[in-house]
Amino acid sequence: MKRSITIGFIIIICFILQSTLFQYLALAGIVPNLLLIVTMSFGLMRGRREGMLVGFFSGLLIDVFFGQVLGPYAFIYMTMGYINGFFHRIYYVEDVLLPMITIAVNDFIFNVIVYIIFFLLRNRLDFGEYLINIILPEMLYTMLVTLFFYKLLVRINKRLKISKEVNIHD
Amino acid sequence: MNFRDKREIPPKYIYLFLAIICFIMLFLSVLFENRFSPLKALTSTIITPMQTGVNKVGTSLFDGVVNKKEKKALIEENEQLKEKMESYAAQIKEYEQESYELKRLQDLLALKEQYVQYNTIGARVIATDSTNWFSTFVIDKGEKDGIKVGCNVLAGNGLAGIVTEVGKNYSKIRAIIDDSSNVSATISGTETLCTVSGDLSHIKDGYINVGYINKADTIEEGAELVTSHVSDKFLPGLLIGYISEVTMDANNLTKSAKCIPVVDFHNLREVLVVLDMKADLKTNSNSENIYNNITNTEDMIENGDTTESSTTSEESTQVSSEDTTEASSEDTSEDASENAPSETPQDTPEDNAEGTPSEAAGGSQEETAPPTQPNGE
Repeated sequence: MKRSITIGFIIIICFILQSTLFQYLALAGIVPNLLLIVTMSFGLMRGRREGMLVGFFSGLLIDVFFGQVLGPYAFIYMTMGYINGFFHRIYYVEDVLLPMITIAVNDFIFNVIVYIIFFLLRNRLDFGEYLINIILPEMLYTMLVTLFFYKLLVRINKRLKISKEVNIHD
Repeated sequence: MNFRDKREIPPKYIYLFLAIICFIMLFLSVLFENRFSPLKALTSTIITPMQTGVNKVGTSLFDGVVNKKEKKALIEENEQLKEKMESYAAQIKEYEQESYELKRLQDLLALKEQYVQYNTIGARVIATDSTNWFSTFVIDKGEKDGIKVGCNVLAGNGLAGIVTEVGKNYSKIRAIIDDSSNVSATISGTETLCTVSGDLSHIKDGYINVGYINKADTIEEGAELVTSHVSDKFLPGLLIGYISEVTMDANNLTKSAKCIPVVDFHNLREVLVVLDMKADLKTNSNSENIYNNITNTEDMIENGDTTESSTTSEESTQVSSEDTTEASSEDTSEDASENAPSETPQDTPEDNAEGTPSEAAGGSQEETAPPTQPNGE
């Protein structure tokens, strides 16, 4: 219970940061995708189930707030979290390379899907422009933020684990 | 949200289940657009205050950094501006003269309805779209302050966007630079119609697209682009930006251009929401009359009677009614609208509390306009 509340808070805080504070820290008008980092991290650290749920609620939040319809972002984020959960097997705490690679691939795939759903279907065919102006910068910026943010999430995860074990012993 | 209890169910079933929920939500929200407002209202009551708070922190942090950097530059700029001010003061006098002339000419054309003072309300931008693909933002005023879906939003001296969603204490605005935004526009001072559409791939370069310009129309670079009178959502005459590059389309039928918007969308902090809606405005002061007046005055000029407005207006109605006898339905509305301003400018001055003479005349027109509608139809 404590775990889900904490994760809920993390999601909301990240969403708020992403839509407010990071808009001021935007490099070249690009904002890092914090919610994707959270989804990816929990997918890696905790497996498919949690990655999926975290992704679902992150995406739902974006849908409710900024989407024209409910569902698409929830589905994309959920799928990202679910797929990342498969890498839980080769995850270990000290590894930094794995999350960096996964977030890069994640962010790329995520944005390509968004492009296809929201832009390609409206006959915006100039993929190269979007790739250079949005997808690649966001990927780099998100990777940069992951460096620091991921460590923080790992620490939170560890703390939650410890308190859980204490509870079991009680 | 209880992760532990679901241990027994394999994750792929949960995934399928949630995926189905996603698609159900998708269909439901497409089918019943407004049914989800309670959900949105619930989340917004939790999130919006937080966004407001964090945004204040962000703004102050940002301002702190910027202040230090720009203090020096500002002092220099201040001196330069002072010099400029003096030169502008002279120019203003000139403009005053011209605006007086403009007013007189407007009186002549009875076009004042286009320049009615709108009721506006100031609001603060508290959040911007968290993805990089769309240009929507959220402001801290909502239903409580009288904002409705479809209200126009101004920033600085130009059109910023349109309200697409309203909650109790927030409303969502789609900027005109958003990729899915389309605004019907016209070049200031001409009758050229065109469509201004945002384009994500060009926002970086600082311009938006203008399309569907008739190829016969000649457009100068630097011309003012304003919202047109044919749009049913945007109020007429709001400045959008300046034309910068005109090119012929591949189909050889239309031209397109680039438009540099006057609003600085990167640093959007405060906006003005226009509470008057185009839909309401139409019923109050039927915009048909504006157009008819223009055609009448054109006839008037052809006849060479441009000296006295009171007599020429009646003459011109005769001329125009002779000219357009085939369109009988237009005639009645024209007659009514033309007679209205010449007969009743002094009848209802007390209706207009604001009391400037131009508004008074415009208001009296609005007053007399509604009876013409039934005639016209």
